[in-house]
Amino acid sequence: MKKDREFDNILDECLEKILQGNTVEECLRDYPDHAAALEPMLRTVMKARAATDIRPRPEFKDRARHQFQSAIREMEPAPAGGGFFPRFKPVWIALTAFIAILIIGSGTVYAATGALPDSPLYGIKMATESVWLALTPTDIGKAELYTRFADRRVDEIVRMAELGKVEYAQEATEKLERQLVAIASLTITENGSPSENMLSFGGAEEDSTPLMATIAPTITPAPTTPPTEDVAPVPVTRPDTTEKAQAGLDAALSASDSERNVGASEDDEELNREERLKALLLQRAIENPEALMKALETASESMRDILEWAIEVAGEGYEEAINNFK
Amino acid sequence: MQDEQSRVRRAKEHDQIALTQLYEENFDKIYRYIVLKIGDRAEAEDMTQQVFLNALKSISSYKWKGMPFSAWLFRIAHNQVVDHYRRKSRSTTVPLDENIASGYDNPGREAERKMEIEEMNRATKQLTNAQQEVISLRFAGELSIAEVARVMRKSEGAIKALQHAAIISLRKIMSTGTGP
Repeated sequence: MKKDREFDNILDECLEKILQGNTVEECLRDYPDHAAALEPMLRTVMKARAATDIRPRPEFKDRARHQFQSAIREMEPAPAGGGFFPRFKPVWIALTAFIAILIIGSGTVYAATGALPDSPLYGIKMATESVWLALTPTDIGKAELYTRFADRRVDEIVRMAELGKVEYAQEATEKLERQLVAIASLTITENGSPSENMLSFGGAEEDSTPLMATIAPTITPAPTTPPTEDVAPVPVTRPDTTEKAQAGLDAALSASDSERNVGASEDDEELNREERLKALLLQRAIENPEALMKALETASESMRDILEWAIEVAGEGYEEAINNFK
Repeated sequence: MQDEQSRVRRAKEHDQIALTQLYEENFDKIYRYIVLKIGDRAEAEDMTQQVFLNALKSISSYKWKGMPFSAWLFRIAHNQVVDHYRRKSRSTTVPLDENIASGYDNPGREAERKMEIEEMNRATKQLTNAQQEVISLRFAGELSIAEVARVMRKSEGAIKALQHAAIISLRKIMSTGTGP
């Protein structure tokens, strides 16, 4: 399975090079161990590539271009900026929203953090998440945050599926994919273990806050970290396997707590933190795809391909993130 | 990517230059994708025009998500191809248009191209629908794996596996003239 994936990746790298104009020989030189398997496939690709190089007739292109230009001219001018926050970059939107949240108060924070993609408050929820990420200095802190945000996306997909809102479910799935890729990229290193960056950063000010808010809410977060009680109750029932996964997580947490009690060093603390993140990812790797599968059972026809896609995204995303720890 | 993001922003404001640039960059690829999918030049021409007119109607609601604009256009094209087959209650073999290889000045080259396209068309028809889609988007549309994954709403890993299987099948079909 792993070998298949490795070969799929190599094949794709070669294809990309061929599409950019490289020769088959150049690709084979890069992967001498796989040359025998690659060569016939790449020759087929060259043939397919040549055969698909079909050009539109010039007279059709002229006619289509003329029609397109006429259609542009008939369009009403769009409002400049085209939105509620015209021409502002996302980071400014995020910071503005964050300041607004501080001014307006915790009631809005609570309401926004439970907002679903079809809610007017959803933009504030997204902006708040961006601010938290920006305020989290370490890779492991960011990975923990992304893990929690991914939970939210799964809940949003399930709720949007229940409501039959295809576009919103798709949008949440796209976000889920990006967040899982972010987790995987934050945990990967050349030798496959957590990054040096993750191991070397530490300090009390960011000690386990986001993760511990999820799995051990009795621990008080340090004041400089983002708010921890951000996850509003979401009306999605997680599958029965949660208990089983939770038991595994509890065991991991219990072990790490014991170690802390006997006076673990800061390095140990960081390692424990990684262990806890890994345990959380293992738990989510089971329950989030299952929550999506459960939603698929009752989903409408139009929603099925989105949910199937989300299940694939979750399955592979968590697997990759967990594998990067090994 | 930064340039495209800025161009898309201007296009959303109905800037004629930005819209024209996006059109010119993607027109041939969208046509190529559609013509390979349906095998009928006249229909492919109409549908290609329609993809861009539909895109123009929806451009204001387009949201930049870090993916190339072409992925969005291919999603529109994909939906139109699906509608096309739904309307026509798809048959397993689509006759290849006689004039599909036109567009070349040299008649000898045109005949040669027609044969290549015919062989490719015959071979791809024996692939599964998902494999056909990957090959069309990857080779005709020139999309990356990430973009194909977005258009087909599948994971990148799944697209790579489909691509691998499709190439193996194509090789067998094209070398023997029979199915896999």
